[in-house]
Amino acid sequence: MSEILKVTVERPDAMVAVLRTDGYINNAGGEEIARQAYVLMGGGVNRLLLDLEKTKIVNSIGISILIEILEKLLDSGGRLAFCRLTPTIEKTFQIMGLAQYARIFPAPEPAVSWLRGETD
Amino acid sequence: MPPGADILGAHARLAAIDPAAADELLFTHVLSALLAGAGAKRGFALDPLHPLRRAAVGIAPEEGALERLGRHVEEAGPAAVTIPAALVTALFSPERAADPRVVPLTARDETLALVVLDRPPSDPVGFASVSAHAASILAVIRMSERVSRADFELKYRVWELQSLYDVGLSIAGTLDLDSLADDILLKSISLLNARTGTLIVRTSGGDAEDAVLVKHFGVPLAGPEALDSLPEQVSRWNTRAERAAPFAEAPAEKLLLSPIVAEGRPLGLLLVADKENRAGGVDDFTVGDERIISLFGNQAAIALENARLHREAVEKERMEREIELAASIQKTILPVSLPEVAGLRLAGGNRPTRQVGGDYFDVFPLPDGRTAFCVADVAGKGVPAALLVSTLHACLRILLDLGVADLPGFVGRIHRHLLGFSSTRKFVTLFFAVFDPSSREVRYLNAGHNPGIHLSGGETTLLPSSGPPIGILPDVVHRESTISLGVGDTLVLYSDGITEAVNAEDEEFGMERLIALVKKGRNVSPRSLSGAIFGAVSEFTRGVSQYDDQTVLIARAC
Repeated sequence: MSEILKVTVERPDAMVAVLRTDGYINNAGGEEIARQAYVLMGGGVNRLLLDLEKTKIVNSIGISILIEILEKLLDSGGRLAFCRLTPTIEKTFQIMGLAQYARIFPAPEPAVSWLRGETD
Repeated sequence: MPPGADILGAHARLAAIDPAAADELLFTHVLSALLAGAGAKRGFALDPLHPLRRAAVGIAPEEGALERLGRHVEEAGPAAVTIPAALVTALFSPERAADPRVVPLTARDETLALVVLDRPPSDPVGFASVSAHAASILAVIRMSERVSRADFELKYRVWELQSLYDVGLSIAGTLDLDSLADDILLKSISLLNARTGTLIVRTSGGDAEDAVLVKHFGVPLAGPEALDSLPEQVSRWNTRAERAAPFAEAPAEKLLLSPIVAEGRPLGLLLVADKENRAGGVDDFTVGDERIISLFGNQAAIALENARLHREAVEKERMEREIELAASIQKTILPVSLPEVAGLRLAGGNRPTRQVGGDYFDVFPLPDGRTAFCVADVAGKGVPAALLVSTLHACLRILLDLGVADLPGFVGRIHRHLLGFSSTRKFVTLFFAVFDPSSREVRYLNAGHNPGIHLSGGETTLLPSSGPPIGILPDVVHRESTISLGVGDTLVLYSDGITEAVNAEDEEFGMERLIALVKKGRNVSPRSLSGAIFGAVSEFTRGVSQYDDQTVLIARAC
């Protein structure tokens, strides 16, 4: 496990972007996600999927940054989804309120469908 | 209305701000409304609680002015209502302001914003209404932020409790120390906003005393050697100078450590480093953080204790199975009853200890009318000892069928067979004898065994060992001896479990008591003498658990 977070971005289509994280979502990790997210949002992409398959740990600062990203996405009429969370991180997101406005999916495919508006 | 001031326009701009959607442009909107309300052109505004939240219109502050302003606000605190004149001057760069004004926006003794205008408001009364309007908006936003922060704090506490609860559940549900250690380390780092962490625990007792489980997240903060000088309490080291010796060189600014202690024994440590903040820096660990790490340290201790108890239970079960197996092996080998043979009356028995040792005795009527008999004690306990007894038994059976001429040659063959065993603890003490009824002679060989007792005419003679036990030293030749066993004479063989039986005072039964019993029993049957010896040993030990099997074999000439 690494405390340094890496983010890779994939674009399944013009509307949706998938950000795959690998590492600790803390202050530095959250900032890196936010940087990539804001670049995408600046380019008009406001439907984001965060794939946390390779992230096993998140702290409260990382969560507050994710909340900021979520708020900005919602302000711009966008959507945020998460997928492949560890049970611990999913429970944490539920408790911290992230799951209230973002959707959590077990796998990327249904998440992307939801972001595209193909499913409820 | 004096020229330049647009009071209504200022109110309209403020009314357009949505407090629920406050963003980074909030102070820009507020400042622009205040400039309009004052009839000013240039200005600056900042939130003393969050100095990075600021806005400037028409000015380019001198290099370092914003940093000095930040330090001033930090020193003056969030209730600051003034800015030093020199600093105000430095803010209005490159063009100086002739008569700048600092306008604090306050509500209930709280400064919500410090605003600097390049000139006094041209309509002080109208401007007062605008600044009050702006203050009310900022007050709503600050209140909303406080509620939001309190909500986050509350959720964080729930998260903290949930994490501890989850670890507790994991402890109850698994004995996989490796995954539990990962769980505890990651949850500690996560809840303490630490950057890195290390968990080190001693995982074993018994034979593997040195086994240590080490988990690192990020750069290692300590190694197993740190367990040798653990602090007894939770320790918070917010400066390098405070640190205890094993952690002096840990690659981090600030450390927080919980020793892991179970049943008063130091078992390990949980160490996290560098509590990060939103600005990218590192905060001091607090008393509250000590509480959290201590809770996780306690959970780790419970997990380790559970694992240890489980390991002990498994080991106990394994040993009991082994004892059962060893007992069943021994049971099939030791004679249930002794044969009737010419010229001798025989009696004997074996009382195994709980661990099942390696005592062995047997009687073999030989085809030529003689009788061979022996008592042996093999090294060790449990299944290995029982298997060695089994081997000895098989050797004796096979070799006796081939006939026994000289005893050293006979025992030597068994000795060489045992030497070929790979086990390190494989030796056997053996008293082997052959009685010839026609001559009433007993030829015997004592290889490292307790001396036999020959009772004749009320007097006893000891028949000592003539060499080491068999199965140890390769080049050993034992010597045989001969005694005459007249009618009524008794030969008593036994194992050290008889003479070394101990009582509660740790006193041994000893040779003297045994010899006295043998002398006293010269007129009773061998069976009664055997019973008397076992009875006397039981009387002596009074229920104290014994380490060695107890064996007696009595042969009386008749």
